[in-house]
Amino acid sequence: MISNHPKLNFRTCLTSLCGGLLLIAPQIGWAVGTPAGTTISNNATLTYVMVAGLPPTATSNTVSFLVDKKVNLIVAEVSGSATSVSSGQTGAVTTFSVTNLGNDLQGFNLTAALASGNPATGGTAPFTTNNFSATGLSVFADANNNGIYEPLIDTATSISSLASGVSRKVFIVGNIPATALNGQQSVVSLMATVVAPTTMAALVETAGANTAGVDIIFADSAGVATGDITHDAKHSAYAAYLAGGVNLTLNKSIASVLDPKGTAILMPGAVMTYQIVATLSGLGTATNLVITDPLPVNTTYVSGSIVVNSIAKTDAADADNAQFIAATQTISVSPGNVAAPASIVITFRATIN
Amino acid sequence: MRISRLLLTANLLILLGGFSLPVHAADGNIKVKSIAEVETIVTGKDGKREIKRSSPEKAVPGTEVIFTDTFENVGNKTASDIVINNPIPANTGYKAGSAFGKDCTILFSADGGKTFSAAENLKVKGEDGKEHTALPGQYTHIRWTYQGQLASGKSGEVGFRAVIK
Repeated sequence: MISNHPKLNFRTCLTSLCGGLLLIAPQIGWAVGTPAGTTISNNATLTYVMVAGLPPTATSNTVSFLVDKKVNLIVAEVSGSATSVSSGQTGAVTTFSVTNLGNDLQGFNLTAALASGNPATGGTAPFTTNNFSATGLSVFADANNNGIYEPLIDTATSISSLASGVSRKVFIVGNIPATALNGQQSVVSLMATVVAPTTMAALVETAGANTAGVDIIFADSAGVATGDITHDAKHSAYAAYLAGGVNLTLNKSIASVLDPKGTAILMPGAVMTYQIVATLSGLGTATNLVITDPLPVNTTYVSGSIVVNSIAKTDAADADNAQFIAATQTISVSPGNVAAPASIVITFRATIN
Repeated sequence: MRISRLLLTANLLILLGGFSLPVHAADGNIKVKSIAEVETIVTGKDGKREIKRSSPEKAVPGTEVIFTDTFENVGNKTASDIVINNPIPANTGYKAGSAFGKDCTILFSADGGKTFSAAENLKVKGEDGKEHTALPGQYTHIRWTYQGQLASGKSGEVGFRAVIK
């Protein structure tokens, strides 16, 4: 029945070939759906027999319409867990991804904000508890998309253009107040708004009936931030700073100098007293803490001079958790587990050669 | 052969032009018209929801489009052996089970129209080199073979649904 007429089949093949070309050509560069402005066309071919002879062919009109611009995006926190910070920390970084789910190149404006109250609705664990407020929030796009905040490289505060289907990492950078207590969280949100690429002009959804041109259709879902509803060209997500980490700072100085003449001049034979202050801030416990300091060159260690928190220590590797390692000319102090906040003051003496 | 060349030229014109071009049938006894529609749910004044068809409005990726080909015998003789061939439009994927056509045998192609068979028998070569049953999205052509004759003045309708990729 189907192959009643060999000639008919031949023609069918020809038609099909042309149809095949139509099918393949616009497929290059697919990302999230057919690009906006693409023409979709349909036509049919019909063969029949009415009188003896060659079967005639009827071809339909070609019905066409344009694919509209679908505006869609998703913002997500990358790690799925709160970012551990210590109280008083500056430049604490949380990482998000912004994905262009539309079918056209788009720009993205970025806004960082503090969550108001406990974002129990819209927030998913662990981003539901909000006890303190991070300060000085700023937002930066990850220029090389390596997921690491590099202050000298990642300076742009918006994404000027992102192709369909492509993601870009975005950082919120903020400061943690010294008053933040162990286990407390500060929830922050990132909101991205789709805008025209490069010009960053606002997008307006085409209202009312279909137009002959490419319409703009907002297709995004609602985000977590206040006022981020569906179909508003915006999307948002939460991240959280979790206080509780321990921050260690080391400060080394020359506490005093005693030269052979009894004055304080730095000269050969003068004895210097070095002081190292280790400060543990934040909350929690630093485990297995070891502080080492190589002796400065052209100096000689004064035997038995190590003092930790006003307690004199021996040079041997013994139970007093302090030693002078002659082989490497290094002072080593091992206080072990230290609960923050705490400070450890280490002094030792060395003679200038 | 002459007709074949004509047809090829016509198709190439469509290919280049994209939009509607009048293509003359060989003898003009059967006219074919293709339309594209989308369905929208409209809530009437009485609160009843009904499905309305209109020309594609929000044609964004994911939209389901109904393509309908109507054919009418405008000649004065009865036509037989009617075969309708419709390539699946570029950038769309055929929706499984959506092809319709009264008194028609419906076959599909997944190789650009070289071979046709019933959906369940349609095979494509996968990346592993083995043959698999073709997925609806891999269909390239639909062919309706009209069972019976179309008398003068009578018309028929075939069609399918496809989703914009």
